[in-house]
Amino acid sequence: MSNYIKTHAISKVSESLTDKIEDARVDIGHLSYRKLIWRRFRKNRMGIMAGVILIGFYIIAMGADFFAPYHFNDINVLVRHVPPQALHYTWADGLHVYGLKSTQHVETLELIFETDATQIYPVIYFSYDARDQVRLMTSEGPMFLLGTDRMGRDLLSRIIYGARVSLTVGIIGVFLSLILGSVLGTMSGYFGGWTDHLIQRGIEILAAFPPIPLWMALGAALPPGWSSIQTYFGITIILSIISWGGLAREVRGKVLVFRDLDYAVAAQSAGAGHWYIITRHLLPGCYSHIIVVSTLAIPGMILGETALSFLGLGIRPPMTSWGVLLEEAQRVTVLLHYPWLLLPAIPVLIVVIAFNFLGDALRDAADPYSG
Amino acid sequence: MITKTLRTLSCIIWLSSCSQPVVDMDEISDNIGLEAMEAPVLAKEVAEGRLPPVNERLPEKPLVAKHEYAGFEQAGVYGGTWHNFHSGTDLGAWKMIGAYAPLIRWNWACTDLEPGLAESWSFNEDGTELTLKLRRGVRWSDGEPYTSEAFAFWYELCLDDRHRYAPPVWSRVDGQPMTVETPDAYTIVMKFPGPNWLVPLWLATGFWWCEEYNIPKHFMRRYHPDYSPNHNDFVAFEKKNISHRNADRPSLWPWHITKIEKGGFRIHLERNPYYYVVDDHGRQLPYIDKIVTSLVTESQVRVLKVLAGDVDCQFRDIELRDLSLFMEGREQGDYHIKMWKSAAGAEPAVNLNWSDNDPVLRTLIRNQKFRKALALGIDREKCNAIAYRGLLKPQAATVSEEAWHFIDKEGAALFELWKNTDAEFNIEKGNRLLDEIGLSGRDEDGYRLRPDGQRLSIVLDTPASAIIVQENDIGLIIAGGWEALGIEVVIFTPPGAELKLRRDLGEFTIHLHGEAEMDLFTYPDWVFPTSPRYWHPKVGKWYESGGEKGEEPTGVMKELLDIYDQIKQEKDLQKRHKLVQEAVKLHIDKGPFHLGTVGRKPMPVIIKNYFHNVPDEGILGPWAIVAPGISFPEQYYMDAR
Amino acid sequence: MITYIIRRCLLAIPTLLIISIIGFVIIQLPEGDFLDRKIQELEEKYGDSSSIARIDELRERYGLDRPMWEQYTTWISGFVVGNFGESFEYETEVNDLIWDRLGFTLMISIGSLIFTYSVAIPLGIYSASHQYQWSDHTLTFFSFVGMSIPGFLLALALMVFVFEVYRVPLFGLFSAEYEGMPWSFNKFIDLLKHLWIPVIVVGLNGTAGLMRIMRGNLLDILGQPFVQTARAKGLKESVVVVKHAVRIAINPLITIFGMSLPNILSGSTIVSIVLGLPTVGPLLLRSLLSEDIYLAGTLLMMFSLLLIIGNILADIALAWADPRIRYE
Repeated sequence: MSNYIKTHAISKVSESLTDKIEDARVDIGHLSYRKLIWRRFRKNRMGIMAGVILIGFYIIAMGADFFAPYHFNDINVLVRHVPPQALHYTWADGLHVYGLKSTQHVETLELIFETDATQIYPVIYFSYDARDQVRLMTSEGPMFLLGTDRMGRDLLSRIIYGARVSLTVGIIGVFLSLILGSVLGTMSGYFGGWTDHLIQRGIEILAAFPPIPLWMALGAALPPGWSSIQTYFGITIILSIISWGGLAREVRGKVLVFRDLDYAVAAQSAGAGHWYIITRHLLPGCYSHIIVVSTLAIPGMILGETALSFLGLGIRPPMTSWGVLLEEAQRVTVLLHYPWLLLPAIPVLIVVIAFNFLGDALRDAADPYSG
Repeated sequence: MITKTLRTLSCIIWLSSCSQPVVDMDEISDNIGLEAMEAPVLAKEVAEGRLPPVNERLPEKPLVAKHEYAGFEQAGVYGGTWHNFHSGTDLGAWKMIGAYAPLIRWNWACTDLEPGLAESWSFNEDGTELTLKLRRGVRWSDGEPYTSEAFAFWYELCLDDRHRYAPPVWSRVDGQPMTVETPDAYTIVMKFPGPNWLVPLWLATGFWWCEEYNIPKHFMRRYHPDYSPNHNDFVAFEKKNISHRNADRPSLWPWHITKIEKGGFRIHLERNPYYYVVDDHGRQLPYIDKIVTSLVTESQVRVLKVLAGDVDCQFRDIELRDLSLFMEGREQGDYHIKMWKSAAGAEPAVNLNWSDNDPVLRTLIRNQKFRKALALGIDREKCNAIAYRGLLKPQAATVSEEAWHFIDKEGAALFELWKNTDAEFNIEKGNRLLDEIGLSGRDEDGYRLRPDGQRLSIVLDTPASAIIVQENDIGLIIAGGWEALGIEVVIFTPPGAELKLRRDLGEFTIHLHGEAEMDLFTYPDWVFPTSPRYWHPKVGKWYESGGEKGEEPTGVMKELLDIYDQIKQEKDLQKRHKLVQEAVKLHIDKGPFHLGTVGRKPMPVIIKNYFHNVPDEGILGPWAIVAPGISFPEQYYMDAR
Repeated sequence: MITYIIRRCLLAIPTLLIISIIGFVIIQLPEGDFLDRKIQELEEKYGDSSSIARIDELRERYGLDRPMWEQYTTWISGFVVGNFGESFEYETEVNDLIWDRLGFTLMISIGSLIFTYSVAIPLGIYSASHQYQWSDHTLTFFSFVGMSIPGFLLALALMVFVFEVYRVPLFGLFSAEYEGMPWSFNKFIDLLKHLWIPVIVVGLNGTAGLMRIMRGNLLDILGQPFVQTARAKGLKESVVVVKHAVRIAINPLITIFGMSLPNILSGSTIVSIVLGLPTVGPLLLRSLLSEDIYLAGTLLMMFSLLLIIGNILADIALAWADPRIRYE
């Protein structure tokens, strides 16, 4: 959400600067614009690191079935609320975990777990589990590296499977905003007149809506008959609704400028169709800007999904996402007794920070006057 | 006569020895001595002439608060402020404590009825006429006399088309309403077109009926269009008649509302100087001076409030899930926990729609073996462990074990049988049963095929985990079990009212609902299909609408309804219990009609260490019996601190 | 100038109207209405209860059986006289419920804004003027972290931490003694003691973001030729930075002011739900979930109104600073 501020700040401040870049595009020598950006980007170590981390996250998320030790809905009564188990390494046994001993509290019947160092369960690599899935790391005994939740489900696995939802919601949401925003913004700037007016007013009205309450209202309005998947897409659409307005406005601004540039006018007088002019001449000028804005919008989406699910208005069980995991953790009992259930906050933080660094690096790369 | 003289004498003696300093409303009196017949704050007002003396404020024969429960320590001191919270704007949780002012009361064990505002009542020979004799001298909280005109006024509104009240279902016989006569200020005569033996139970049930039928006519008439020139409809009347929204409305409660903070976020109540109940020594109750109850809608804030020691005694809105946290905080918060019961026979019960819209599923559900197989597919131990940490007990779906229908030896044995029939978890057996009834065909994913060749798929309506997480968890576990039986289960989790709409219209196939009922005479529909709810939406609709809508009952349904009709006509209480047992036998033999998971949930009650006289054990599940109201909470007291 | 302001204010009215319509429709999208949910909720909590059947009859009294457009017009027409309808849940006028809460919401929001700007700008200037030094890198890192923490999580963690250490349950805006009491100096102090946590939590995201922007802007300006000229003239570095560069770099921040308001208001929504504050957020969530249409609708409108006012103020500030816009 703060990235929303950011994108606007960028547009207002660096508008004049990027205009100059677009002009330069037509004039520069043998290196294409994109290659220039890439070169500059490579120098930004933070950006590269962020990019690598993010790629890592996405790979793990997509390969959840492989990377996660358990399925995300493996309910196991005997291992409820197990604290995180440590991985140990010895030369003899390789990576292993210790066994667990459980005792039951007399009055509250809660299970209390202690490590039993006499039992050693070595980690097994690349094995098939009960559902015929190949898993990277499993073990014969309980191996809950981040502990378990109230149903005995492994938290690490749930975080990995949850990443699938949380990370893709951001990308798809931004993609939707992108398309919507670019198309509408271009139409608005290019055609002008009534189209422009209508779209502008629409954007203003949407902008006047407070985002979280709007998300809340829409989230509460999702038809209950929808399955988890449908709800997931519904949420993505809801999240993208807010942000396409800002993008549309910026694209419109760009288009307004380009429309009157020589090469566009020339194309028009040569008889080129609207669509041709838009896609071949106008839009490419906006690409870099669009990419930067999108990268910075993704964390906003991820946080939005987290917030919505946290309030119970987003993704619904049995599907799981980071927001759902955090929603399960927002009880005083959990915070005081099972604090490891708050661990999903860390990947959220890392991903959002990484996206910010990446976007920042991209922006710096696209802006020749920085540094 | 003698007691009256003694009382007056002791009052005079006490008053004349009144050299005590002015007592602050918040100070607790050390004067626990039996000479104090009323609260010091009231005595002060009497001394100043603002209140009549206590013997004039009490009725001729005040109701004596009983305490036949473990946990009662002694007669208490006057004074103190009781802080608690509630989570619903309707103030229901508080009313269960302090709004039980009925004509007839349930006793603490819920085995009998006892006098409340009515001293006595009696039926005529054939049960068509019920006469109630009111306690003489009872007054409203503003001092006006409480007479039979309150009840008559209420019934007037019921018959008035302009007002939304209608003659209640229980007062009608075959759809015909009763007539109410008040031959004098202390007698009410209800005349029914046919025998209506259950009426006294209804008069005692819940805080909502007594709230409705006790209307302060002298106060409300100024908003009534017939009595007041200022109003020509009931709009203002309805607004002013809401007891928890109008601090000016006189009440019969032990503590009456004095201040409602904007929006109802906090409600202040103070002792009712005209309260008609006394303790064993004749001292006017309640002991506690004031109540402050806050609206706290966020569950975690409630947890923190308890841990911080902000509540003096809290019965409801305490979740079992936080039990270990509460136990840890006992010393720091200076409270102890008493484990009451929910008396639930199933938390939740699995209701199968007897009249499912899909004809194939309908036939299957009506097949006893199918239902038994489904019951075998529920891993109750797992449900217990996951949802309730093993604190409940696996069982078949029943009503409350403590219900008075099962007190005699036969009844108790029958209940045991009911509890344990179809309470087993055995996937193998379940699979065999399903194979036996012709569902042995499987499709390519391993799911069974229905007789019409389609995959056997069932939709399970489950409340969202944000609403009731335990039911949601259990829904998942049940789904897992039935999948092992080869049935595809689709979990349907709508937020909000969609769930209820589907239930009422009978559009569900299976849904989950907590089951707890202490009296099947007044609330029969877990066992008898008398209303469009639970497992019998359409048959119940038929019964409720008098045969106009819904589905006509046949076979077992008809048998059950016939038994219930007999119950309504039966004069003898023991015979009525026997009829209920007969119906339960039908459930055991021809059922199960709804499946059980786990039941008998303990419900923690948080009580500060300086708060006394709370029963050690009680039933908080079914609201019809108004616990803890039936324990006379006006006799709880707080130590002088 | 005046005409510009008037024009903006006039434009705001139809915008608000359209928002109210859209909001009203969205609120009613879920199946069923308030009474259905109320009955559902009561049943789930308390089991069977005969009084619940009676609630059905209230449908007519609440006007829930009338078509949506009629409900809308009745509601909107009341706005002129300051009647915002009735809340079904709390059974009082919406009027009685919202003003206190709006007040607290504004207090927290404005407090956050003040916190944000007064912390971010100096830090941003410092960071820019010490670019690539150790302090800059540290500040940058912390600003990224600050931008990324979801507010509600921070609130939750803080609340539990404070409870563990100080045994003070940090919810609500007042301690038990002052709640519900009339205003006094002590009560005000008590309020301030509770206020700092929500203000910081809500403001943290914005502070971090703003710091980055300030830094970025200032760096852009500092790279410009005229700054070099100023340096060449022999001006002291601090004078260069503050007197010349910052003045220009701040301009965009004024625009952002208008943009920050929605974030602050929204951010405070979730945080106040977590911390149980008597602000608009928790009320809005509950009213949306229970379809308390007039309350929810009014709250959405109020939110939008605050936003629009914020935007107008920002645009006015911008127009005052940049004369080109005035003559659009």
